[in-house]
Amino acid sequence: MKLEFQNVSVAFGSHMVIDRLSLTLEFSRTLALIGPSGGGKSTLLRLIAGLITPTAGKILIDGSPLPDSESDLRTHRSALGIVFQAYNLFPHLSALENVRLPLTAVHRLSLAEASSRAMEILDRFRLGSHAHKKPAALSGGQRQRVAIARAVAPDPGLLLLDEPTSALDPEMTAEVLDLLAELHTTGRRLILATHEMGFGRTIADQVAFVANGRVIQWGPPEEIFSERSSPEIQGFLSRILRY
Amino acid sequence: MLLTILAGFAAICCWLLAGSLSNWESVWRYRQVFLSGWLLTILIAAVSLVVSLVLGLAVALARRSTFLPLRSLAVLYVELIRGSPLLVQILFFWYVVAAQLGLTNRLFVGILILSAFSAAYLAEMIRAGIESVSESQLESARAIGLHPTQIYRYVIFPQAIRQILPPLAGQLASLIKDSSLLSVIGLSEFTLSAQQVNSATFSTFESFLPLALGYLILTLPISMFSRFLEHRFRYET
Repeated sequence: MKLEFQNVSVAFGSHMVIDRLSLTLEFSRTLALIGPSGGGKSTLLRLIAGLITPTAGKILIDGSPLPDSESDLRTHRSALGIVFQAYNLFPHLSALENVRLPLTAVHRLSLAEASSRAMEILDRFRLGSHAHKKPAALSGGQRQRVAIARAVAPDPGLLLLDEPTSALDPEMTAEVLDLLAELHTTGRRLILATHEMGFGRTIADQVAFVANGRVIQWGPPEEIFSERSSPEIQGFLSRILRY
Repeated sequence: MLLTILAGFAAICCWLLAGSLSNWESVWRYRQVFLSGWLLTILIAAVSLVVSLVLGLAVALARRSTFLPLRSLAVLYVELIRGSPLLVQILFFWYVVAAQLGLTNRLFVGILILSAFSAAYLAEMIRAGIESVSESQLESARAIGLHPTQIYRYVIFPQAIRQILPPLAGQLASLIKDSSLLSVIGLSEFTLSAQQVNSATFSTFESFLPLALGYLILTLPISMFSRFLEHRFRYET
């Protein structure tokens, strides 16, 4: 899969988050974005997801440019699976209804079809017994697994995950990472912004280090996590691995 | 709470009764007038609630519109209504606007005025309810590919309704009380009926005590219901 950024800038008000980014990233199955918070990882993911549009410049995915109009972007988004850091689920709907909603409302499945597909995925994710609970009755890890189930249910070509474990405790983090590893082995393509260096290193075939709105360096994990990486990465890794 | 209020009220009534010559018999003869006025008040409040809900929703959505003239118009409407007394609005609309338009049905015009008045307040409640839905919920909704009307239908309204329902019940109680002002344009709702009984029997106390009780019978259960709703929705998110 090829991601091209051509002179992409993103400004929130007068604050320039990404300033004329030009870059081509190629990966086969999994791309991990690492780097300090506020460095632009989430913004990059939201750009790829079509949730925000660049102030200037163009983004191409596998050679085709992302559309400009909101309705075309909506079609683009519905072909992706997107999972955020937290608060993904709709609190007034049960786990099953959360997974079912995009299937019926966006992908036009009948209620019966959508229900059986949603239930099948929840069962596969070992969430079957929680299908009728509201998010408030689920643990953080379960909530995030339901969110991943919702993203995966329409069988998207690409799954985007924005720090899916950073709001969770270590045990729940492991529970979610196990699930992602499982999705990885079944061949699903992922782009993942993460603070879990070990995990990123294991599953990603490409790692990009993002800081100050720029991609400082990218390459296979062996290279990024070695002494050959740039001083910024060395500094970042030594800071987060100190304790 | 309710018992205390009723007990206090009963005590005041007993004290008043003891010192006055009661004239319940002559008032009793007019019970039909009381009843029809009371029923008309319920009708006015109920219909106004429905009409103002529709109008209030439209105004709330207009206030959130990206089209500036529409948004300004909605703001102007809310500010004009909330900035002037209901009594003034009733007098103005009945004697100036309705007269100009040739509208002579007091019930129709009365419901219209009350609905327009209540809609401004409801619009603000609905807007607050809509805005209580967090930004991350909206982003999740966009992320799964819902279009704007679907976002309202599946995500915003079901969550906003929990915020809106308790004050909405309170608004019904307000409508019941506020409808009494429609007596000034000669609409024979509950208050005007009591006034008519009073002029016919010269029994002030015996005419206006049932009036006060008649309103309380309607409003106290509603405000208790509103509090119940508040409690229920507070703990389930």
